[in-house]
Amino acid sequence: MTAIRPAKSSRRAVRGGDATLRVGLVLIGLVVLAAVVSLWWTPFDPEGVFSDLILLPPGAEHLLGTDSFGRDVFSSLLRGAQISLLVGTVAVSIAAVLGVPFGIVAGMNRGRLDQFLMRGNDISLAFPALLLAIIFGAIYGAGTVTAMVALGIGTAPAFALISRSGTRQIMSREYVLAARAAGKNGLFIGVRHVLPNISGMLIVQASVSFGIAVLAEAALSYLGLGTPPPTPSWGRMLQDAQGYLFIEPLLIVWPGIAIAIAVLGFNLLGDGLRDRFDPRMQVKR
Amino acid sequence: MTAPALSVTDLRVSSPFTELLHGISFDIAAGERVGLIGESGSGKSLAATSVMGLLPDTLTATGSVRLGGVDANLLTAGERRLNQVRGNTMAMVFQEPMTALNPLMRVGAQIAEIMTVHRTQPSRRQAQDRAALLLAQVKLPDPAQAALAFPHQLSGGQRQRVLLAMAMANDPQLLLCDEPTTALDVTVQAEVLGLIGGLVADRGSSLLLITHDIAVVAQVCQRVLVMHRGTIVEEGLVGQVLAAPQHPYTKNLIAAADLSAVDDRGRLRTPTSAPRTRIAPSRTGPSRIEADAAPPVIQPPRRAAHQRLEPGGPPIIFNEVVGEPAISVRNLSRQYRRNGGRLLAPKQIVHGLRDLSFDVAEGQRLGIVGESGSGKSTLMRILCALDQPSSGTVDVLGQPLGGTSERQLREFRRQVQMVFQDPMGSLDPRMKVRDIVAEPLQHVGRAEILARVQAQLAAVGLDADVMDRHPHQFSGGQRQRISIARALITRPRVLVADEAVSALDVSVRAQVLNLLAELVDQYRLTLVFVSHDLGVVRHLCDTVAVISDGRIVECGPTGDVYDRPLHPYTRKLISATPSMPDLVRRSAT
Repeated sequence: MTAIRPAKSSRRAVRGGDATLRVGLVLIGLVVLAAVVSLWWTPFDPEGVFSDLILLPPGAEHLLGTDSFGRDVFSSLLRGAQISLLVGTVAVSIAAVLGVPFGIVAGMNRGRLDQFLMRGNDISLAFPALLLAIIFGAIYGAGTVTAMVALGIGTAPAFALISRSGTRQIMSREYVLAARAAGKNGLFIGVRHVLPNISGMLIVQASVSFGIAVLAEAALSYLGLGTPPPTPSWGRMLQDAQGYLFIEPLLIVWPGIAIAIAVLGFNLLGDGLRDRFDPRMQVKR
Repeated sequence: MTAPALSVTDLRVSSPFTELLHGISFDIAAGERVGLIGESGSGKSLAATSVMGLLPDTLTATGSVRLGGVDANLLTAGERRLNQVRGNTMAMVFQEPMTALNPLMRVGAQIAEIMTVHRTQPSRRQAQDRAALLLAQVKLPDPAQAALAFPHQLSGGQRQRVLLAMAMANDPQLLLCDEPTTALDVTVQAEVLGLIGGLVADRGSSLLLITHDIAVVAQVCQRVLVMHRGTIVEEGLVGQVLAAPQHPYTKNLIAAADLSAVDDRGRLRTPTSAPRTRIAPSRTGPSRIEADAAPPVIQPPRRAAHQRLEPGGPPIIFNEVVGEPAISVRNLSRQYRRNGGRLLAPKQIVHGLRDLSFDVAEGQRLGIVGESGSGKSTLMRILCALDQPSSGTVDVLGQPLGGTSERQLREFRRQVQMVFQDPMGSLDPRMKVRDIVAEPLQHVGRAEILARVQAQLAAVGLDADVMDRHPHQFSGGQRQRISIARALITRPRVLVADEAVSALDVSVRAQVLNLLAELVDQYRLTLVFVSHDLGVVRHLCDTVAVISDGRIVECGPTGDVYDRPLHPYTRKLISATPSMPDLVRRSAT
């Protein structure tokens, strides 16, 4: 038997999802850039109050004008990106850590355990993440940490659902059968076979959840249940601007655009990744 | 001579990166039956989809495709013109009959739709009447009732008959069949092929039959085109090409398909006539595992008793071994509960295996032959302790199976390994080859793992530099080699192979079969080889068990069973798969 070299991997055709993916990445890039830059530099101190410079229109010095306390809107927007990304990252991480093992265990053990776990999951699905965050805020006091934890717990059932369905697909593959025939235990199969092979769907789910978390954080802050003042947050900027809607309507537009960019960015990323992963779940190199 | 029914000139198909079809030309005369054979990736299906105008948007075609009576080049014709032609002047039968039918529509309505769309029948009523007539012509029992069935209520063969009825509904000039019988069982395959040939001959239609299987072409076609890497390398009358192929590729293909021709060492001829290198000896030296393996006893090949199951007769212990058999199965049954047809209907009990008893001696090569649904895969899973018997006992290497914990099975897992059918699905796409092959090893040091993986890859004929690659970078045959390497790395005593070569191209199949035979000899394995393909089993196994409907109906030495089958089912199976010399003889006359 002569030695055989592996076949060359064929080049794949350009996919339609690539444009979506790129636009999404650019939008997210903008938000990340704002957050990173504002760690070291903002044009003005976003927490600094200048009572003689209130409600200035956009101009050369204050790029997007100032708010009712004389704070620079552009600086607040940059700093607000930090909170949005922080809440999104932590909430999605909590959701993934809780939901994914839950879903994989349910998917690998068909029968009673699966039914028990998934009915529990259905019950928690009945409470929207936002409602959970409001309840948590009422019990443990409003704040960024409470919001992050509550959003994380509230998003976890979605991760559990998607992990379970992915796991069930993977469990019917012959390589899982081969692993069982090799005497591998459930933990090994879950970690080495199932998790890597459902990671594609999980990444898609994570990016969509990220957008939802950013939006939820803004909503909570708007309700006064999210980030406490004086830390700038897009949601609270909206709330502050609300009172001056007829005096300075632009104030409500800027945070709105920022939220829209972040949420749209993550949703486009999710869509683009779905197009990449869904047709055939294969390794991309 | 009249104008050809189909005329293809200089057809080229390109993807954005490369040309896939390099200018193929052929004619099909009216009423002629032509086969197009080639292996996967040869471009045979591309040729068919170009003719039908069904190429995906990412591919572009140039050249000309002309259909008799249609004064347009079908490659450049608009979608509207194509729609008039498709299903009417030419029709296609696809490989997978389940996905080609609409699951929510009754099959009769689907056939009638073809006629109402093309207005070949004046009314819906008449179209439905004709649909029933067509179903009768494709020999479905009780056509009126069958017309009211949904696709999932029919078997694979019946669905393929429905597709055929749809294709023939408007009496097309040209029928294209793309692997029409590949998804079917052998006995059904023969019937469907006969039907295709008959229908086409009755109507004077032309046929273009695309397949990888030379036997299929030989049974139906008059002329054959051989495709290889996007070009037609040979064409001619079937008898001539089979008996005296001219092109080296055709010669190799026919040689590889012929499982009855072996060299002096009992190995098949493979297309790459490269000199055979010795299998590299294990670099690890005599490892612990080899040292405590039992000293090989070269037994004289034991001849199994040739027995059949009598209808209503007592259960038989097939291939009974005196002494200590490697595998001993007694009164094995396996039932499943399946949801009833209707909502809230009681669960039905489905019999997977019924009262099976047989032995396999150490060193024996047992082939298990059966069609889909016969229970052969269930049996294989039970033998590998991946499924539990409902009743009966199974002993493998002295280890009773059924109700045993994974801990008790540890030694069993090392000694019994399996090779799967699907070379794509049996390797984790996210793992590297080194991890895949090393997976069955337990409690072995890192350095020894590396050495053994290297040695094992060398033994299956793969370079050591494949270790850090992922499965999708390999061809089907190479993947199956990786599967075999994984199965043999623990030095098992029993190897269970489930349709291990069914998904492979003929030329690759011969190589993998040789490799398997070689390794079985070298490692002195007891082999249980499950397959639907009688030719493969005959080549590889010394004993064969024929399984039908959950029962072994016949078992005996391979030669005896094939030459003097006792059970009617075995006879039917054998007559449905003619050997290559038979085909040459038949098509020459």
